[in-house]
Amino acid sequence: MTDQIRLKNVFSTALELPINEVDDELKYNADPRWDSTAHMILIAQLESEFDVMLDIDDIIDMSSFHQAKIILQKYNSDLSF
Amino acid sequence: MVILITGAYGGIGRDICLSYLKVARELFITGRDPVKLNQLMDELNQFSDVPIHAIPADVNDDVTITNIFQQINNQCKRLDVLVHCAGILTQKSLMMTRLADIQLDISTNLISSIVFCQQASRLMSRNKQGVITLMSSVVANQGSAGQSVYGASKAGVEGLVKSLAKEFGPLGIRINAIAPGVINTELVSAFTEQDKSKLADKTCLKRLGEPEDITPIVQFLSSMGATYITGQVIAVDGGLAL
Repeated sequence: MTDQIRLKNVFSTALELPINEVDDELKYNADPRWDSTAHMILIAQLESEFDVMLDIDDIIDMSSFHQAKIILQKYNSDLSF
Repeated sequence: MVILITGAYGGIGRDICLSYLKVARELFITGRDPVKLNQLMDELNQFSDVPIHAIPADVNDDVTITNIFQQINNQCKRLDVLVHCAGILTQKSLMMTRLADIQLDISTNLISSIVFCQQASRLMSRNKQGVITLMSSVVANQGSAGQSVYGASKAGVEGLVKSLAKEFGPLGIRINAIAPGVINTELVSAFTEQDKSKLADKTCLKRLGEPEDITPIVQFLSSMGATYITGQVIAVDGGLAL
């Protein structure tokens, strides 16, 4: 499974979105399903899936699917999205 | 269960550590003084084979706090219970309290509670379960001359518990606080015997509390018997608040 698919799966599960709705246009609070509670679930699942512990600043900055890719690559440059 | 106890070698913390040996799969203990922490670990190891990880840490240092949770993540990938016992009590009239002392009290008692909740909730939400127990004090609601900053910090803890119960509830995390009365620990060691006697007389039960009075409540709050209890501040004070 590619890293891109892994990431999409995490977003889809955490935000309870169909996987085809997970794309670079997906933004925090722009979609009603990505609220503050869903954001905590998303962070927990991202940390678990990619085995990282994100800094609080990065959790706050993770405001879109696109941003999530950039932030995760900071922690693991081997990830390819 | 993977359990983290802060302020572990304090009077209440030590007793809580001992009680959790019976249910822990891994026990993480923290405290500022590495010597006292290692002494506690040695003591705990005499009673149980449960893996115990002693992490010296100042709860006012956010980098150290992050390291605690990274160690837990690296070794266990989860956290089930946090009991945040670390705290200080500055006994001074407000007029005689320096700003640095005020900031230290607020930081140690309140800000550290906030930061530990922030970090713990991340690990707990992975499994959509977890229990956090913070330490308030009877002073938060009753007040006590000479303990205004301490009381303010503990009142903050109670406000924190109520808001986080609402925020963490959907994530399966419960959070409560214990409000001990006057408990025979280092925190009240500066009191004279006469002061202690007067305080004992103010309780319905006519005695000061012991750490053993607190521990069963903390353990109950993280047990299956308490799965519908969150956002509560439970007084364990011998009726001092009445």
